[in-house]
Amino acid sequence: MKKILIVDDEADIIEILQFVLEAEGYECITATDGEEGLKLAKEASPDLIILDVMMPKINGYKISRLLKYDSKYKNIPILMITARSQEEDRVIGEETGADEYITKPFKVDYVVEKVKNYIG
Amino acid sequence: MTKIFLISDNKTTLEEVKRLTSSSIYEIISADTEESVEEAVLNETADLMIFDYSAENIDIISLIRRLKLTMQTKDIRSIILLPEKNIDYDVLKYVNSYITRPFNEHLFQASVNSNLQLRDTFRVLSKNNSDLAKSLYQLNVLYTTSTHLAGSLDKTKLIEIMTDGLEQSLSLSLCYALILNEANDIKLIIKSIFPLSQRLENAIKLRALLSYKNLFSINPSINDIDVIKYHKDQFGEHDLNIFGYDNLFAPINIKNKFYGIIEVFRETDFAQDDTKCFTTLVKQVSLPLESAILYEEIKDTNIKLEKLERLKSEFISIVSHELRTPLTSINSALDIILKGTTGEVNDAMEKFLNIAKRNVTRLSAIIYDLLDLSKIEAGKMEFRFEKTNINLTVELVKNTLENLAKEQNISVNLHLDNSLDLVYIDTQRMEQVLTNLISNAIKFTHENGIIEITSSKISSDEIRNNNFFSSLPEHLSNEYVKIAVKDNGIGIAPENWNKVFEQFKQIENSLSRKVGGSGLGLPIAKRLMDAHKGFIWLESELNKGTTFYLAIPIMNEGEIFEHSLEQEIQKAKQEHTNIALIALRENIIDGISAKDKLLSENIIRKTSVFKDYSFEKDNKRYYYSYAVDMDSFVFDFEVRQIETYIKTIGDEYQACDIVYSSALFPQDGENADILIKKLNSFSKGDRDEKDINS
Repeated sequence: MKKILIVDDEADIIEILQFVLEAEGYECITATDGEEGLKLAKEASPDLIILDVMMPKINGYKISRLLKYDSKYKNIPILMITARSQEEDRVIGEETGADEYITKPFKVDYVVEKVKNYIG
Repeated sequence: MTKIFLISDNKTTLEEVKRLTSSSIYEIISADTEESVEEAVLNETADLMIFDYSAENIDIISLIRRLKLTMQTKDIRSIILLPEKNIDYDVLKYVNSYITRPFNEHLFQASVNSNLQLRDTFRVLSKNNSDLAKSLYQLNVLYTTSTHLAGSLDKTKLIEIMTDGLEQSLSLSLCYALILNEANDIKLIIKSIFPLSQRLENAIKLRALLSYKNLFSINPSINDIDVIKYHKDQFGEHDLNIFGYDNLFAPINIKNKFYGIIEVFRETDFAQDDTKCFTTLVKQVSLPLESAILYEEIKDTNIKLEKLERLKSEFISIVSHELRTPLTSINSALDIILKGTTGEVNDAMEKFLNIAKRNVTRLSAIIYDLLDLSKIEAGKMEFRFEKTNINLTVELVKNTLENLAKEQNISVNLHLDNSLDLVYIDTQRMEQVLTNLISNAIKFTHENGIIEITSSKISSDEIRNNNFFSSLPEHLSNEYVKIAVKDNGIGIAPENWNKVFEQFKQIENSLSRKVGGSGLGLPIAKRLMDAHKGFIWLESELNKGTTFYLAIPIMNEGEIFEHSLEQEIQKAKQEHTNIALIALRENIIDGISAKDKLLSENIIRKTSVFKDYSFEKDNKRYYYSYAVDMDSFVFDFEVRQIETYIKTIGDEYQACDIVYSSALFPQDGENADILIKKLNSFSKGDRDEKDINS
């Protein structure tokens, strides 16, 4: 079973994504802040990561960069969820290495489709 | 009493003169030696001098010559008493008139009187003359002072200019002005010839405060006074005795409101003219002071407004960001239920869940639009312009909206001109504009309606002659691509044609509620077209249909360059960074190698993001490279387009140094090293100067 790590500080979003992805037959592990997310990304060897941008402790961009510049984890696809806020726009030009950007408000079907594109 | 000096050592002459002048009241002061003459001259002012040619022990001729050279006596009229014979007539050169012996009483008196009369006339004339000179000088000072006053908007500086003017025109010993800006901002400006003793300074503070205490609306303390002192001479000191001098004082009023006081002191008494000059100068300052205060108020208000504007757009941004996350949750939850994953959904449930879903979609559209609008208004919207075939964009949008049209049995037909030039647009933003127009057309058209989309090329005349625009920008491109989106829907009444492009002014609210939408789509489209230097307008007939038109400029390379530079300037202004532009001439060094050179010489920052451009003009290709975040501009003066921007940037963007000169650039045969040297000396010199100033 393919394993997906969902990192978001919004419990509701995690619950929704977890529900639809599990219904599609994926295993989900979750984290509600950046630090925990990074730890799980490195220790739980997920097949794909869904990452929110604005989070306490470590933001999504930083996590993405840390993983993508590390040869051990760089092959894990990252789907980044963004709300296109001003702070986010400021750093959007930076190279974060994320494979896909999904803008809020998103449709769950769209997320599922993207996940399927990467890990089948 | 009229004083006559008689210079003679002859007793008979003295007696004779006294007798001859006895009919009038004269004071005869006689002197019989050269020393006594000089002593008398220094102590007394004579009205007339009479010399006796026959004086035995006085060298009359040399004495007269000496007195003519002496300050106190040179202007005093003189008569010489001559003997009957043995006269050196040379002496007559040095005196005003002569009387020959034996004296005729009437002639003698007539001569004395006429000389005295002449003296009076001269005195009046010379007084008038010096009065005139003084008035002229004062007028001159008044004039220069008022010119200076008009040139400043700094309150303290204005007062200083006024006191300078007073000092110059009235030769004051001391002058002070107390000005009250606010309760804790009181300035005392003292200008004097000599430095002030400490007790005089304290006394002036007290005098300034106490004398006008009843006029102050605030209750200032002596410790709140900020003293600014100037003096001309180093050696000497003013002390309390200055209060014994003649003085003039006046309040300084602005619009009948008390602002401060001014008092001046002079050792010699003030004449009436001086008083006039004083009051005029003091009055003169009140108007510029008023402007200065107004200017400060406006500046304050502007800063507040800018802050509010920024707060507003930040607020909108934060709000819309915060709204997105809950909207996502609601929408996703609804999706999951509607899909039946959580259990069977009956018809009624589905109906209401769909209502909820439709409104969530609408809400998120409004949030997007609000965010877009606030970004555009704050100048924060970023564009990525590129050359594009607009037909492809139109087709893409049409395909995306095909399903929405089919749901209402509306057919969308394309009539695209395949020979169109490429346009310089931000494709994503243009899609947004087109999506808006086409989805509007779908919304406002009845079932089985038809929407026709046409693209064609037009000349700028069609825009110039269009009555829809009340004003047009100065510069129009020669040709435009016109896109028309025509529907056969409900139409828009003429009085609403312009309103549809204004914010939050959706007409017929009930209808818009039925069809959904934020009411911001067209205002956003209008602003996006502005950013493209394009136009949007409409034609409509009620119940027959509406056609929306877009005109997108077909820009030449020069226009594209200008446009992109304009964008950079806007961005730099927003972000408070500097822009550098390096413009290089054809065939000398191309933009890229020059840029590398400049980088290696540390003239430009390594972190700067460069944009390279080139365009052709008069069969020559020009290379440009410009960067944001720079301290200076470098321009090639020869290129017209750039020249315009020197002006624009100079006016609007004063934060950076502008370095431009075609002399900076190497002439034929010279190489890039020379350019580097020239630039280096130029920009470094500039920076050093700035450091000194700061």
